[in-house]
Amino acid sequence: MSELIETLWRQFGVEAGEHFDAIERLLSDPSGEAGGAERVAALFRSFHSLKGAARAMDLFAMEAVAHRAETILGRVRGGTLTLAGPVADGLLEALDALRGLAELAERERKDGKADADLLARLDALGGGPDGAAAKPVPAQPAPPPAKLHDNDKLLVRFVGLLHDGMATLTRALDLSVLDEEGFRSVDDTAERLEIACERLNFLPFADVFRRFRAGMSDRDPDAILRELQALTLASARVGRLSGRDAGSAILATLLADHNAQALARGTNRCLELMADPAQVHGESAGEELAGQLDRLAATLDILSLPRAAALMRVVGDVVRRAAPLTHADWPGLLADSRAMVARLSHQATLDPPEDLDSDACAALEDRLRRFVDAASAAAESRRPFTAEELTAFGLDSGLLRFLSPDSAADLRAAVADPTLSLYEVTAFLESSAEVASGFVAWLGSAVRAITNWPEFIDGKTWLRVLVAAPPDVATLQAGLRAINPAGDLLHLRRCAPDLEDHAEETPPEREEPATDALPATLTPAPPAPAAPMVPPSSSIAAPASPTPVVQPPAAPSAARAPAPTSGGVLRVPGEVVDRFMSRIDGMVLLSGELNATANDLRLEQALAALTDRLGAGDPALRAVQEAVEHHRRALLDLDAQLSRSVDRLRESALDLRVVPIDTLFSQFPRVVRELARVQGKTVRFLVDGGDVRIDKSMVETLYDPLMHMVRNAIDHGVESPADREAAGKPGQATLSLRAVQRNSRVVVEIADDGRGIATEAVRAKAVRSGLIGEEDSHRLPPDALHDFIFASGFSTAEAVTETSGRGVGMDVVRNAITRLGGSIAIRTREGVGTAFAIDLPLSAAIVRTLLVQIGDQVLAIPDRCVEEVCGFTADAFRVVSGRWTVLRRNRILPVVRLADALGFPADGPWPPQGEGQRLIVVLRQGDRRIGLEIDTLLRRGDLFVRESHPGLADVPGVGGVSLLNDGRIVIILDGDELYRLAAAAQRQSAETVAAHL
Amino acid sequence: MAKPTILLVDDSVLMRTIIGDIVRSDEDLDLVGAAENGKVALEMVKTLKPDIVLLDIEMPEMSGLEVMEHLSLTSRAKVIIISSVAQVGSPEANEARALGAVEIIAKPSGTMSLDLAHKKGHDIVVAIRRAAGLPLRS
Repeated sequence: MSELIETLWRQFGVEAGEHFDAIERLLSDPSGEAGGAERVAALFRSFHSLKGAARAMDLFAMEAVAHRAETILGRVRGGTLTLAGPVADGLLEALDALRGLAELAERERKDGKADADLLARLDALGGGPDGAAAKPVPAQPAPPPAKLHDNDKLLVRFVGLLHDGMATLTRALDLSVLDEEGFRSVDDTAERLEIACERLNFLPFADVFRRFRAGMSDRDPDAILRELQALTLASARVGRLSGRDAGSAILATLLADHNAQALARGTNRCLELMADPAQVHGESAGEELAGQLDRLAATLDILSLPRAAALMRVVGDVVRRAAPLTHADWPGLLADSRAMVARLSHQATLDPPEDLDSDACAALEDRLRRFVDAASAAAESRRPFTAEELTAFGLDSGLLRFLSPDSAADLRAAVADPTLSLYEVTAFLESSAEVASGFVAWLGSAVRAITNWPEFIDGKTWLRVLVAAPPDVATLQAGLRAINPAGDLLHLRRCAPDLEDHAEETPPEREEPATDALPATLTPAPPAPAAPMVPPSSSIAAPASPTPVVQPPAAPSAARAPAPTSGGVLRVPGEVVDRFMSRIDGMVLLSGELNATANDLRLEQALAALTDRLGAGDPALRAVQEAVEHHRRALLDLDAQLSRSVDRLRESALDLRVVPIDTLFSQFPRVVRELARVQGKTVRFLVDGGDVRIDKSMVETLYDPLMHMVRNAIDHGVESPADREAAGKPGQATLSLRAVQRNSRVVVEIADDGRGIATEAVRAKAVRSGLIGEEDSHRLPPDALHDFIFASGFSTAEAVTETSGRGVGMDVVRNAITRLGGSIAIRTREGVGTAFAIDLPLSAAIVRTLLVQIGDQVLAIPDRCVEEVCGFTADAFRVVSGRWTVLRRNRILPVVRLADALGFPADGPWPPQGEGQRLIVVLRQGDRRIGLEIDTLLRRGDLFVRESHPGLADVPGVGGVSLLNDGRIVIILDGDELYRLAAAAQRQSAETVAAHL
Repeated sequence: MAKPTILLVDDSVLMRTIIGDIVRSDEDLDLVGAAENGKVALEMVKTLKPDIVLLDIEMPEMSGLEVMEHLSLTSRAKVIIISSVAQVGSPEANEARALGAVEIIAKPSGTMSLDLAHKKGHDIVVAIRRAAGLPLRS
């Protein structure tokens, strides 16, 4: 890849140089006749080629200059300008500017800036920035045609044969009255011509005759007419290129009636198809319409109605470019186009047929052209940003993942608008409904919100919103202050485009007491962008001179189109969904508490005790007892129904949070190419299943693990092209990223066809790292050995490379995935490749957990890791093989105190003593079990996982945090990690036991 | 089934490299030759008999439209115009369509972004695959 880019830059330099020299020569040639068509054409081509080359290399400034020069030459070619005086001077100036820009580009490999004055002068000469587009220049006068065939004699004979055969061929149109002899003579003529075409190597022409004959034998009048029409056009071309009459005119005359009928049929069918825009949407209907319009155009060509023919082709072309047809302007344009077809169907039947009005056609064509430009510009503006682009706007590149296609288009529009600047507002909306609603109203009225994302600051989730607004900080500040007079919940920061601007514009710091609420020490340091972020305390100060944030890299002449409206889709601000979710979250928690109350063991026990006491006693009391029992059952019933209903509500609410996984996947192709390039590897990157939808919070959490695995694959998995070829594999490696949805889970697979994981190396490393004994290691199957790569701190990479060496290890990857409620598995074969399969729940936002308490701390154990909870009396605790165990269903279950496993201070004696039951949570991992002794069992609960504080995330065993309805913090434990800790604590306690005995 | 053969016609060596790279990125396609002008292109079509010709319009010696006029009589190759001149509704595009061009697409841009084949280049591959009757990949 890097070689290719080097080659391209070299070729660009050489080619641009050649064109510069050619232009210089042509412009300054004193002997050259001022407007010589050849000279103008050559100049036009050179500027045109420069434009194309610049565009290919992303040199927008060069493209802009070359485009204007080309426009001027287009006008010279069209005769509305002469190549002298100011025009020639302007072109020379353009040439100098282009040379400078090309030199800069070659030296620094980057785009420069075009001189605005020069562009304006060139625009003036070319008749406005849209000069070329608005008035297409006529094609250059045709030079003498190239020879059609080497064998002149043969060609002349063929043309004669063609000319004389036309009348015979048209008899095929009266197939019904043609007798057998007549049929034979037509077919013979066609066959002779077909053979002649073959001999002359006029293959498509031969095809026309073959299809014509097939149409005859099928007795298909429409096919016959279609081929005769094709023959008319082809013979006209032969005539033009050979300079002889090939009979095209005769054929056209003979076909006149049929052509008129074909025209009527064609226009009718088009009118039908164009009546309903929804129909044209469909691929096949669009295809049919485009085909009909083409055929209509061909018929119009024969009828010498060139204006209408051209229009039909333009409409056909637009229809064929199916993409823009979802654009809001399309139905109107389609209706107007249809009106023109209707007019044509009338005018073409007049005698003589009348062509469409030239001005009306030109106007419609112009609108269609602008429509396509606008629609494709809209599509283009929706393409993802690069990290560099964002950094250049003074934005954090981490923002990439929060830019949907729509918000990307919004951001592009804002950046291109010199009256707007970019700001970041950091808001805390959880504590005051007034501030929240005021802020939402402010977002909707005072500024243009582009995107928003959550930011975890000081244990709270803040909302960051990227907005575009006029560069008037004072007004913005005042607006925010009106919503939040204390100024502690809303903060404004201007996004500085780059270092120089930033230095110029940041005035001396001004005291802003309000910002004290967000002390810098508590603000997690954002990933450092190229430009330093303004710390909150100075960010609120107004810039001294309100200059536009950023100059658009190239102001393309195409008008910015409004973002296409998506029919039937409701766009809701992210924060509304989040608020909605948190309310449902609250409801889920309440439902859980109801469940706990209804299922309270004490109630059941009390009722049971009551039943015992009553025995066969007082029948009236028995009736009361039965009524209470009945009510308890009804309550349990209602509870069951309510939880099902809440579950369904939660599921549909979760749908609001899901996004196509493509928003995640689409961030990788660029990275893959860049990594492969850096390492001199060639990698084909396949992405599949991008339409699978996952929770939007997972997109964020999955990015790092996926990135790590992609890097690993390229860094360690994929071999160099030479090594691959030596191993008998194609030099280009394949890396694929795919997602499949299975019921309520998503499986993401990353697979490469690289060298695979060396089982022996993993085994040796595992032994060296003390993860397993040498002898045991030989007994393990390869699959089990491969699992060691997920062990903490494990890495087989011998050298620390630039790419994955400093990233997180596979243990961190697995932890991140486990935290999402997922699991990861590996399949690998040496020499063949490696595949990781990540199995994830559709939503990681809410997990079902078992809530337990040790001391004052509430802990949540993921439900999927818990087999059951059982009670044991103190005497059930026994030492077996030096470990504390209990006997559960006749099997020995190792037990440990949860507090000990987590390293929390524990109260009371161990093993338990005294009366009463001790509760054991049976934790499972695969087919292994361990018991955790707990103080108090609270209930099962669905928890809405909040991003945990970075400091907490590193604590072993902790998967995240959540809040209870009473505001207490719950620590959500990580099941696998908890198992590991419990097993380790057990081993340790075994040592203590051993020491005691 | 034999891979569809492709001839690339463009007067710019830079464009030939970029477009060639894009075409080669699809292993179902066989790029059999590249021509720097229309005359050479007609010679090469005669000998190589490609299934598909990728044709530029603005070229010295013989323009793409002239090449098409000849090809429309002498070659069964399907012609895809790759040109920034032939935008929708331009006289060039109309003429190319009338002469039977199966598709008209813009020249690739944005080489420096590394997902070259992914972006505009994709258009070219898609157009070729469609013209060759190969299944389109998502």
